[in-house]
Amino acid sequence: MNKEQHVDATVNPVKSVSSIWFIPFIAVLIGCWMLYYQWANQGPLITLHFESAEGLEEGKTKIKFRNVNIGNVETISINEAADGVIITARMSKSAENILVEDSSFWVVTPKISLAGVSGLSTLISGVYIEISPGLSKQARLEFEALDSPPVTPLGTPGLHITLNSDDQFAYSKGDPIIYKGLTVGQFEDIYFNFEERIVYYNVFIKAPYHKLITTNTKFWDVSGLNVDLNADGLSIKTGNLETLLTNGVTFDVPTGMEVGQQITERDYFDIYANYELASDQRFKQSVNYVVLVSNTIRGLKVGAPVEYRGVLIGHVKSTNISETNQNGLFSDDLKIPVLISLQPGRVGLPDNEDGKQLMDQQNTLWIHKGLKATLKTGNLLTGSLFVELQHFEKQTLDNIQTYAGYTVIPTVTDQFTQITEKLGVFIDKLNQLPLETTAENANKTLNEITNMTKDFQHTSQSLNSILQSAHQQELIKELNTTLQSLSTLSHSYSADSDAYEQLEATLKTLSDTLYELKPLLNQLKHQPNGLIFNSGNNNKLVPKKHKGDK
Amino acid sequence: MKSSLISLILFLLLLSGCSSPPEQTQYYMLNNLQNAAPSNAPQKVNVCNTYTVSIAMPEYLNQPYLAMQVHEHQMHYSNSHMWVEPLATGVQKSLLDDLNANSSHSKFTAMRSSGASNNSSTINIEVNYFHVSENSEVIFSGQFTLDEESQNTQHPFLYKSQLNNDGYNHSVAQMRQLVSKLANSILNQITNCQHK
Repeated sequence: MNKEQHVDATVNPVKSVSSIWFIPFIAVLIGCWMLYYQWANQGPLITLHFESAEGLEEGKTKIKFRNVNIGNVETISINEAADGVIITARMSKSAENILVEDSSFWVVTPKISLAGVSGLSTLISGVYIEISPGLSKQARLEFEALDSPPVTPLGTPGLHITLNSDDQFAYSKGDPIIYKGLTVGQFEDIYFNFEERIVYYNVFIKAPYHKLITTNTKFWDVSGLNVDLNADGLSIKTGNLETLLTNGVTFDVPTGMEVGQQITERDYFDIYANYELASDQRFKQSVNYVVLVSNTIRGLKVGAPVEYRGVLIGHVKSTNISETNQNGLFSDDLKIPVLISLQPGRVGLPDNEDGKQLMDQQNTLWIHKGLKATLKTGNLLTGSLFVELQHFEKQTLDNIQTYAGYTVIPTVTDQFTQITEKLGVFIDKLNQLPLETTAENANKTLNEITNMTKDFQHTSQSLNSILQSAHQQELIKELNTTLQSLSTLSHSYSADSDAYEQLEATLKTLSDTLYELKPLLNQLKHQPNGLIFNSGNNNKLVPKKHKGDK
Repeated sequence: MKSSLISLILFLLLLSGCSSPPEQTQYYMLNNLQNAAPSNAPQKVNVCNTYTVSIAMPEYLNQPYLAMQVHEHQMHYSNSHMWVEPLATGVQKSLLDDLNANSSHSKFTAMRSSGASNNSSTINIEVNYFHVSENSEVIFSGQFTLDEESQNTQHPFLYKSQLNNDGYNHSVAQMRQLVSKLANSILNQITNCQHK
């Protein structure tokens, strides 16, 4: 019993960490991997500067490129100067390569303008930020956003040129550039030069139409309807349907002018009011003359045509020019000097100094031999005038006059003006006629005629009374005749007359007949079928003998 | 064909069964031809007065049927007993016959529609009731106005007579007698020119 039995225990090593802990460990590893993946794949954080954050929301507003989401707005805050907002946005990794120096950002909002409607989808989806990738290779993460989308996306093939105008044209961003009715370009931006007081418009011409822009290309305005009522009559012109509503500019090489060399870099062009003005620019050389007009120059405008036998050879350059060294008083009436510009290129002469000299010599010769200038009415409706040069061989001139340094072409009055002058003389003579005496005589005659009319009126009234009296007498006669006839008729139907007796007999016969018919009518009234069937109700009610006599 | 003919004959026989002999209408005349004979009129000598007689019958008697009072407020017109002439005519004829037959010095004529002559006297008779009643009694009432010598006198009258036999024929005879009574009454009221 004392002998104890010892049993050695089997000692096994105890596991220090339970296998269940592998599960959270794996979860931690997955989480770390996710964080790393997220960090490794997230795009850059960019900063955008906007003037306003209208419509933008943190965490909601997208940044899109070609309608693909490439980023999200994360924060919106006001900048230090409080003149704008700073927006930070997280871009996707795939958008890293388009975030370069000249990339541009703008907010897409719905817009309705005369040029069209855009961004309507944002009415439902909300506004978003659009990016236009730049061409630069230098990466950038901070940008100044645009107020509105760029008219021409960066890198679009075409040609940038600058148009300028000192006229009162009002082109705006996006207005079209038209070529033969096609929209081939747009106004990109506008710049006003305060020193020159000229508006410059940066314009983009799309490829392949940019090849049409040459050194001789002229631009002119085609805004809306161009209604021109001038010496040539009424003309209406327009560019295309778009320019009916908005402003627009078209261009071309004027007829008769060489095409010129193609423009490859930004160049400057003027905008002319119309094609005619643009076309005139093809003639660079001109010879100026003065025409002294003794009549009115109302209707003669700057730019009015100067014609030689119907051929346009120049334009009126200025009206009523004055010599600078004018002193003293004029003894005679003053002739109005009109400066005209004749272009040798228009009459087939070379458009250079030789042509200019040749034209001057030719005109000097003709002035000696009787070349005269006349102001003619081009349009009777508007009264617009133009200058015509004509030969009057009998009115030769020995000494040619000059005015302000320009050769003077003598003038002769227009035939229409001559007619009006003669008409004026005729009216003067008419005024001298003794109209007052004639008017007095006519007045007396009219008074006499009035008196005669009154007498005639009295006479007609008397005649009318007589006729009315005669008519009444006739009426009384007819009335008497009618009454006599009526009396005869009443006698015919009076008592004791045959007609009366016949009438009485007829009435009696009628009364008797009705008396006889009375029982029948009474029977039919109570028994409608009494004519066919007996009622069976024989009336046996008869007077009875007095009972007292029984 | 044969059956159709038989059906037609049967239909006609049935229709003939509905027929009945027409009821015979009896016509009556108030005046009797015996009184109307001219021989009954006395020969008038020294006619001193001429009377024009006019009779106005009540509206209920302007019927061709003989009327009979069946209750206190109910009248009956017999469809099968009718006057041959309007009752007003019959009364006037009867009255004139009686008046002219019983007067030798006065002449009675019917008033024409144009009115009485200026010189004659007038007798205007207005009948109120003239019919037989179910109580076997004939009644004749009214008034006559005697316009004679610028004197206008009004005399009401009421005559009744009991029926001794059944039927309208006897009642018409009784009515005729009542007219004679009225004639006698008128003759008693007019001035006898023999006494003038």
